[in-house]
Amino acid sequence: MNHWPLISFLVFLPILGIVCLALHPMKSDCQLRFAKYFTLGLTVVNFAASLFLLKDFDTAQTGFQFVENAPWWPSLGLNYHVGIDGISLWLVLLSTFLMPICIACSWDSIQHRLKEYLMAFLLLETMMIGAFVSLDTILFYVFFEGLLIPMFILIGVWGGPRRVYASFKFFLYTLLGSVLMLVALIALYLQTKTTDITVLMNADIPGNIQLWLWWAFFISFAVKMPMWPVHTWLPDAHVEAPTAGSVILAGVLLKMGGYGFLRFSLPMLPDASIQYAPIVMALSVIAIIYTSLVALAQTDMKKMIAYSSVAHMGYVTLGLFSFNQQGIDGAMFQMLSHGIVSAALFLCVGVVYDRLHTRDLGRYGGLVNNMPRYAVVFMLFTLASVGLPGTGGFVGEFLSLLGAFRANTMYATLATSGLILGACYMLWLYRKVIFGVLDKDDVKAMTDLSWREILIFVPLVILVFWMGIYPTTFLKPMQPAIHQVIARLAP
Amino acid sequence: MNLALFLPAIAEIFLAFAALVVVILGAFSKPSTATGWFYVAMLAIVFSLILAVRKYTGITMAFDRMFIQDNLALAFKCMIGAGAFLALALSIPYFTRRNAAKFEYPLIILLATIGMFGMVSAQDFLGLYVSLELQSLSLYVLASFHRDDRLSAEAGLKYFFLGALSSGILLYGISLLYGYTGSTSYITIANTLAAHEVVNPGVIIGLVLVLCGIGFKVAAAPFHMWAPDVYQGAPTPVTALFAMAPKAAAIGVICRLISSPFAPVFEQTQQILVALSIISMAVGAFAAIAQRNVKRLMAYSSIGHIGFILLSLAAGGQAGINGAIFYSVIYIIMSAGSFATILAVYDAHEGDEQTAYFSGLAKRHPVFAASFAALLLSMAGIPPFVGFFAKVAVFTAAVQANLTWLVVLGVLFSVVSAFYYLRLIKIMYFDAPFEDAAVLTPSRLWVFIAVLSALLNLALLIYPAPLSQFASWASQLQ
Repeated sequence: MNHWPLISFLVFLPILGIVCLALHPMKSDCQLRFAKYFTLGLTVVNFAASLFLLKDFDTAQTGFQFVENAPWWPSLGLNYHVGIDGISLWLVLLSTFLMPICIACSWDSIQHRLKEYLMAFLLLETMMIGAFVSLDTILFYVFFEGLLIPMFILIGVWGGPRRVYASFKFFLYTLLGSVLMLVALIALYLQTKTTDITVLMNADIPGNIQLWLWWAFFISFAVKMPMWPVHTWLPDAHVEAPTAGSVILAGVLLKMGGYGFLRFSLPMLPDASIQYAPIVMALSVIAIIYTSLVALAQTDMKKMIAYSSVAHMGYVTLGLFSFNQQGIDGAMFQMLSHGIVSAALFLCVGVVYDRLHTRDLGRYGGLVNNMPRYAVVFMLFTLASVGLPGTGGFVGEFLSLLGAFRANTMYATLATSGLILGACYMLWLYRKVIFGVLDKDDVKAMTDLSWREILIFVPLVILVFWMGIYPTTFLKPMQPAIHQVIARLAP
Repeated sequence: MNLALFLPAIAEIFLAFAALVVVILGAFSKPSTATGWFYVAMLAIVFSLILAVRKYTGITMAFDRMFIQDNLALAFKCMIGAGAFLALALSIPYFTRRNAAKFEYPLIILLATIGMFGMVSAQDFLGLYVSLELQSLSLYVLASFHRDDRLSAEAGLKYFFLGALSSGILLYGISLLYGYTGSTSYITIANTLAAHEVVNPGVIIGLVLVLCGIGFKVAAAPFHMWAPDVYQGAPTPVTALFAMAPKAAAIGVICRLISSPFAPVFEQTQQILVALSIISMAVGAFAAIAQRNVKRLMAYSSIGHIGFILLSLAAGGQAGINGAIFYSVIYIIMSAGSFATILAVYDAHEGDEQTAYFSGLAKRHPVFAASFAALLLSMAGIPPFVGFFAKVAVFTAAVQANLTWLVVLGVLFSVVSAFYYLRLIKIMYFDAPFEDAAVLTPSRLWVFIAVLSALLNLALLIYPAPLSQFASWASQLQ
């Protein structure tokens, strides 16, 4: 297929924006506002451009589309090789979709060092999209690791009171996880003499080497995911990050782990994946039950949603390592719906945080009286997070549990209890914030959603229902890619 | 007499003449024109390299096979020359702002450069020793160049004492090798060692002592004790020189040693290099965490980097040398930019170089902050900066040589060292500017070097081909 380099455009347009912003003076209010509109416009353009991917994507074709390939480091055989299949298509769209929302939601809340803030977000966009479209292992690693830099700056500069601790923990924790993957990538390269993901996905790697490589990949992706027991960086990072940072962290960064499993561990190291699947499933079940219980005990709204993210990611790994159609479909769908729902939940927290500047549950109550529109929106996403049929959350959890039942009944049964626990803490959160008596004066003074906020939530609401009511739109394009993965795992 | 016989050493000969000219004319010139000699020295270095490259015709030997000019030597001379050139460039604003420019300074750097050129071209232990001493004695003087400053004098003296000790160790090792092989020539030693199945313990002791002596010169742990004090005490542009040129020269020597005289006993050499590598990486990672003086921090960071370069050399073979050269080039680029920033930040504050002076640099001088942050991330080996490729090159060589366990240790140490690099970024970006923070009025040259090296760090990741070609060309030994 002949086409203009759409993927490179998506990856490097934000870089162009960074250069423009760097040269843009930020003296007057007018210039500040211009920078915001400019960045918003740029991210919207990028989202619009990514819709062309969806439009021209051939859902019947297996393999990668929109491929671009250019030599990068010839003597090592590295290439700038990018392209998408049904799996990365949706993750790229998720990233470009959430970006304008992030810029819009920090419209008024970020007052100092706005220029650097916008630049950090654009850099983040480049890195996220780059990681999802890379078809070269080292190129993937460059983007995968490069992500840490803007996120570190975002948490550290615009974060809460413990921002320094949280940013260092985030950076070093995930770096420690991924450096071992670098060793594995080098070992993989020396074993197969290639860094091309498309080749590696069909390469036969000897069993004993697979086992070592698998652990190196697993540690890296498990930290990113994050899986129990290496999830402890996430609550800190979420609590301290600014709202938009949390949105991207929950919406896209957590998907890196699942994407890594689906792109590297399962197809490249199928024997090891099958051998270690019980461990992963056990860890997923622990994650679902344990972090749900932990979430129940939280009084910080963001921390609660952060723990719920860990639990939801547990369904993803559970589905992925059940190695069947429903499981992997469910895992992918869960990633997408969680990307929307948790992002929306963090936005909901951001709305009240902007007004009262606290995330303490006890400080709120009775918001339904003075913020009815907010109550409706929050209700919707709470229920989506719980997995109410008709919302995206249901489809993902249902499919991944269905897959897990086919693979291992006991784990699946245990994991199902997580649904109940999830309902417990989410409804409790909702009750504490929205219902109850409206007795505190500062809470009484809170105003309902502004038009800007409503505009932010509308696309998210539409998507959540779309995913719940007609999931085929999302599932169909990813089928060929998922079939390919399953074919690799068949004995 | 056939003048063509001297052709391989044309760079050294040219530099020696240049140094003589500087001595004679400098002594009669007015002190106010001293800065001019800096430019003369920089030009001399550039011309000597151009001559060496233009007259290079493949591997050639001179002086009764005591001197060799080959790809490796030429490549390292380019790196050393670049290091000396950059250090001179960084010095000019430093000395002119203090009205302290002296013509001896560029002169001594020229002499040191001749020594370093000789080191990488030596094909005989005696030649190596003489060049090494020329280099070391010049550096001792440079370290104590601020002779009225207590720390600078201490640095020079400490460097001199420990340097003399290490030279003694090196000489003792050379004498043992001479005793057991009957020669000081690399080629003869290699042939003699290759002829014997069993390696004599005396040879091993000699080998260990020689490598320890060189280890001292690269500041590889556990022979690193001098480095933090000397880095701290020496004038900052001299510290920049220490970080760039002599390191490259000593690494060139190790490349030469493992590929020529010690090639037959590589197994034993490897053990020493592995030990030096692990200890250096560990010291570089952990000891730097406690440092609050940025020059001491750079000293420990350089020890860590040496550990990675030694890791590559321990892998041996062309791949190992290739990785070491790749890493060294990138290290020189990163050092130049970092020291430009350090010079600019402390230009406004006399006295101790506390890291706290960097606080709020993102607001006080965004360009320096951004370029220094890029360099720090590059040093930590975080993509998208070329320091990452340096680590990839080194790790690839080591994994290929079945040193995977060492690579795993290396990446873990690199995570530890990421902590203190990140802390500097934190100080620059997260912290508010300290009270009575002076306005930075950096020289344009410093800004230029810092920005250029940061951009190179990014550009070489996007287009690494020239660098990788350079490294693979340099590591072609036959």
